[in-house]
Amino acid sequence: MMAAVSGILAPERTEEVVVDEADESDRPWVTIVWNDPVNLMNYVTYVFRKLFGYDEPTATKLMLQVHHEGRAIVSSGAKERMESDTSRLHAYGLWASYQRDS
Amino acid sequence: MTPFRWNRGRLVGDVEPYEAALLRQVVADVRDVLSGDASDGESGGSAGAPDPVAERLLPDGHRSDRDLANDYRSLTEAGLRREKLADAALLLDTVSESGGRVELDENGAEAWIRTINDVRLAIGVRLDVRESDDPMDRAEQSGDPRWAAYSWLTAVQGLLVDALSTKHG
Repeated sequence: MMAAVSGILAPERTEEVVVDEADESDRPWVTIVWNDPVNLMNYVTYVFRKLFGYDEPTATKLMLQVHHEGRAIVSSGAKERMESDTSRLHAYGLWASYQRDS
Repeated sequence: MTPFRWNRGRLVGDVEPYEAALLRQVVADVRDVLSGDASDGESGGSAGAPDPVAERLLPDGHRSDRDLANDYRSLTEAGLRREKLADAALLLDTVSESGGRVELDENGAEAWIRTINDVRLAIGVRLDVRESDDPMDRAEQSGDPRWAAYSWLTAVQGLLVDALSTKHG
C-alpha cells in the first residue's frame, strides 16, 4: 500500500527507489525499556499506565518482562513516535531506547 | 514524612525539618548536574569525562547507532534538561527549609515523583547500586550517609507512587 501511495505522490521516482522505501516503512520501530537496579517496580508500572494508557494487567506484565528478561518492547510504530515515546520515558527516568524492530 | 493523601484534589503530606533539609540538598545536587554547574566547573577549561550521573539522567536514545543517538540528543536533550530543571525547581518551591505541610496539585505531584526518581538514579550511579543491595544494610555496614538517604528516598517514592496510583486507579 505504501508503494502504491508513493507511486502516485512521486511518479517521477524510479520503481527501485519506491520499493526500497516500502521495505523501509514496512519495518516498524520499537521503543524498548531496559531493566535497571534503581527504578521501583510499582513506579515502572505506574509510568507505563500514565504514558501509554495501558490497563493495570498490561502495564504489570510489561514491567515484569523488563524485570525478569531485562527488556520489554513498550510501543511500536513510526520512528518519530518512538523518538517521542523514548523521550517521554526519559523524562520519567526510565532507561529506554528506540530502534528498528529486529 | 507522613503518607501522602488526597484532599480535595490536592496531594498532602508532612515533612520533618531534617527531611526537608535532606530533600533540598539532594535535589539541589541533581539540579546542579543538570544545569552543568557540577560537570563544567568554573575554570573554563576543556570539559573532562562526561558525568555518569548526567549520562544516566539524559541517556542515549539509541544503543548502537551513533548517528541516531546524536540525532535523538539534538532533538530532545535541551527539552528534557529544561523539564527536569523545572521539576526540581517546583519541588524546591514546595518544600520549605523548615519542613511542614506540602500541598501539591497533580502536576506538582508528577514533578515530585520524577524528581525524586532522578535523585535516586543519581545516588544510584554514585553508589553503584545493584539490584541485590539492601540499602538499609548497606547504610549500616558502610556508614555512608548516602545509603540512608537513598533508602529514605525509596520509601518516599513508594508513598508517592501509591498515592498517584490510587488517583489513577
